[in-house]
Amino acid sequence: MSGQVAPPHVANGSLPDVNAQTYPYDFVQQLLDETANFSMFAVPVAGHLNRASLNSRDTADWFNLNGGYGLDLLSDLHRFEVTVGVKPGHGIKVNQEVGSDTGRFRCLCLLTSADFGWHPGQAPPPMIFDAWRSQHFVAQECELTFGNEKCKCYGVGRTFPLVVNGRHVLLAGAICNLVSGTGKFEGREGTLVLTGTITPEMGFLGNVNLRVRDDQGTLVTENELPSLDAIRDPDPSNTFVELRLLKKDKHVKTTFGPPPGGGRVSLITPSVMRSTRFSYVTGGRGPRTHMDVDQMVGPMQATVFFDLSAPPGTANSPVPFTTEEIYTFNDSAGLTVGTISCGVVEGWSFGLKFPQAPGQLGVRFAGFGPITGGTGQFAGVQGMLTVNSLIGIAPHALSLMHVLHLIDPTEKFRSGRSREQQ
Amino acid sequence: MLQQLVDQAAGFNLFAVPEQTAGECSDGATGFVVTARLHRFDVLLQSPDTGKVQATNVFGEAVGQLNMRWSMIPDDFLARPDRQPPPTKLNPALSQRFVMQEMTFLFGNGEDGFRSFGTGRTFPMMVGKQSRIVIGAIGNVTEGLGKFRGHVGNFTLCGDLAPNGFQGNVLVRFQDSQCDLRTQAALPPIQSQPAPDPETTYLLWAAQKGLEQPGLQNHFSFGPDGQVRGVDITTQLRLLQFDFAAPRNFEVKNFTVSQEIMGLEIGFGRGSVPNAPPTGTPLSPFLFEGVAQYSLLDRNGKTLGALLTNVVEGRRFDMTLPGAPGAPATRFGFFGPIVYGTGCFAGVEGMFYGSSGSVFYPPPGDQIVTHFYMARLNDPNGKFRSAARTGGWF
Repeated sequence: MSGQVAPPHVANGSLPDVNAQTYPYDFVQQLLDETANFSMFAVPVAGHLNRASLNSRDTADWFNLNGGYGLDLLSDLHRFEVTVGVKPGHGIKVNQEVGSDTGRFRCLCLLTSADFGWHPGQAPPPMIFDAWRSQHFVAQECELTFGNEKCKCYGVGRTFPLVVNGRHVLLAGAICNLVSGTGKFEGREGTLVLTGTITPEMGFLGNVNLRVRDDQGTLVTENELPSLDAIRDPDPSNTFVELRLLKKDKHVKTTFGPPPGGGRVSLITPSVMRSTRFSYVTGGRGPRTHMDVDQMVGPMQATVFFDLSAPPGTANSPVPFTTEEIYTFNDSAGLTVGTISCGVVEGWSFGLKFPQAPGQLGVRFAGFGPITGGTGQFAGVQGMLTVNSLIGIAPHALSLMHVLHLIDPTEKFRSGRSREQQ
Repeated sequence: MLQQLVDQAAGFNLFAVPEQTAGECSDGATGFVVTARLHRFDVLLQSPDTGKVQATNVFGEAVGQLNMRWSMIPDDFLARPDRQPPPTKLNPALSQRFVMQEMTFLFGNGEDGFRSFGTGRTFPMMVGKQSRIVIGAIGNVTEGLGKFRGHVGNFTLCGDLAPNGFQGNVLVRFQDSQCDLRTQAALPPIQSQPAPDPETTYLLWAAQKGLEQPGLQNHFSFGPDGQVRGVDITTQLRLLQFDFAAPRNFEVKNFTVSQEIMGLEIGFGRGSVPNAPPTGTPLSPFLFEGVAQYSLLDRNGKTLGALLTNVVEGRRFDMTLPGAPGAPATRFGFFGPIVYGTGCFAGVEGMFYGSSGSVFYPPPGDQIVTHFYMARLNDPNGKFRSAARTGGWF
């Protein structure tokens, strides 16, 4: 994801050295981590279906019937904390807790053609909703509300129909850019991703992650936040493996792989996965976030495909990318318990600058895609991947927040504690 | 007058039960040559006075045979009777298209019947504890046999692609301007048999235009660019009853539509292919799609429940009404999944489909239409199934 800018040390006709250190690696890592991470769980608002409309100002035009050419989603946003353990003999176990209601998530998803792309302010050509086809949508009027503070976003997404134990299930993934905000969110840069289920009542049930740049340190706190009071699990059939990924150390190099064609390059980026509890609260003092990084759970290798010649992505014209990724989960004895293969099929990147390091270039980017395979404990697994990331370019430091959304009807990936909350 | 001309039509419901015992229609198969027995099938919506929406589904005696040759096809395959599709494997986990290259319906002693061509789609669904390949399809009659000779007609089918073939409903509509398909004579009563699929319930009703309330007349829908993107249409829902038999030859009665209004449809429709010519022919029907909400009311006008359905495949054929040769008359079929239900339909899953005849003048012009609408509900607990065949509105 370093291709949106021309980093230093570019020889004529050769690929740039993304590992060069414009600023020290550790400093860039620190800059990247000046980011507030909101890990949330969206639970559909009961009764919204009776009021939902694609355009509540024109309900006499039945094009606007919810469920026809789009979905009017309204969910409560809850605190959501995940810790991942990989124990010898037990494999991966996820403790997943949904806490109190902290705000609202509204998203008007307008179904559209696969080639519409990213065009804020434009009405997409409409497509009829078809829950049995993977469809593209534009996330218009996407808004998160925490009391008086709001984030307005624009983005794109897709639906993914699956058959799980004979039952038809419709997943949705999306990536949105923070367009405007109020209160503590005013003037911020940020990226939102979501993965979850479109429920039979046309609601969105699943994970929403928002990462907001916080150079001033008014959102991120080093202090522990009040612990989460878990509510009854609203979604016991899905497990969300939420992880922080970064390079193992500053000596790990990113390399260019074979070009995939179409003028794009591939960038091979090794990283390690760490179990991390992303916490946030809202309320009197406004939103605050905190991150507790725990054990390493294995390596991840991503190959990122993008157009090296594209100018840095902007809110109106981000740069597309795709990935191929393999997640290898190792227990504390170093034995691999399983792997998950997946990739970003729709990803968008935005240029990133750092006030404290004017010469340092970076990218924030996010995307989603289906899980395509699994081995070991993950053999036959179905689900989705979301990535919500910030990286430096020269040095190629990483601050990645990934979620592997696993369809888990038998709760095989859940820890006992997680199950007790149901 | 136009309404009468449109309604010079025969409508009837068949239920197909596969005859094969081999698992020909299984995972990986590319095509199927199968037969089914055709049965009488009476669906009668009950009076909603009880606060419930329920229908009797009476599965009757065998009345004929259906010979089918179907092939799975790629999503982008342009199906025509003269085109052989590339081999495409059935995958029960995916929604796929198929072509009905031959569908021959023979009734009674085999003299009356029709041949047809059409296309459809599979929809993997769970009904109760059973995963099924539910299908919807539209067929156009290519040749009438016996009594059906010279008649144009189309049908929409909905049911399951079972391992041994198609099982489900065929909702048929024939134009019968000369009134030579329909009879005034009494038909033998249906001979009820055990239902082959007690986990699904069919609800049948008609929809016609009425004296529309202000704001509920047909009108254009305009996109943000100010261009027409489709038409908003409303109809009134009424009870519908069919009857036919085929002891030796095919006999069908006039369909009857209740005077009382039992619900309201609001919906949006448009052509599926931008800038496609507006004509619909047997080789190249006009493709349409849309969304509609059907609200069923009790006698006090209170909504008992509503279904939101999407037409994902609609096929329209132009036709000529002998009594109004210049009228833009059409017949059409359509199907799609039920997207969601509210009220008594909360949580319901299933399919919605129909066969219709219409004369359509763009707004603010009139529309004359009689839809035969069918909802096929996954109903393992029989919530929508009325056991007794008494208490209907007729």
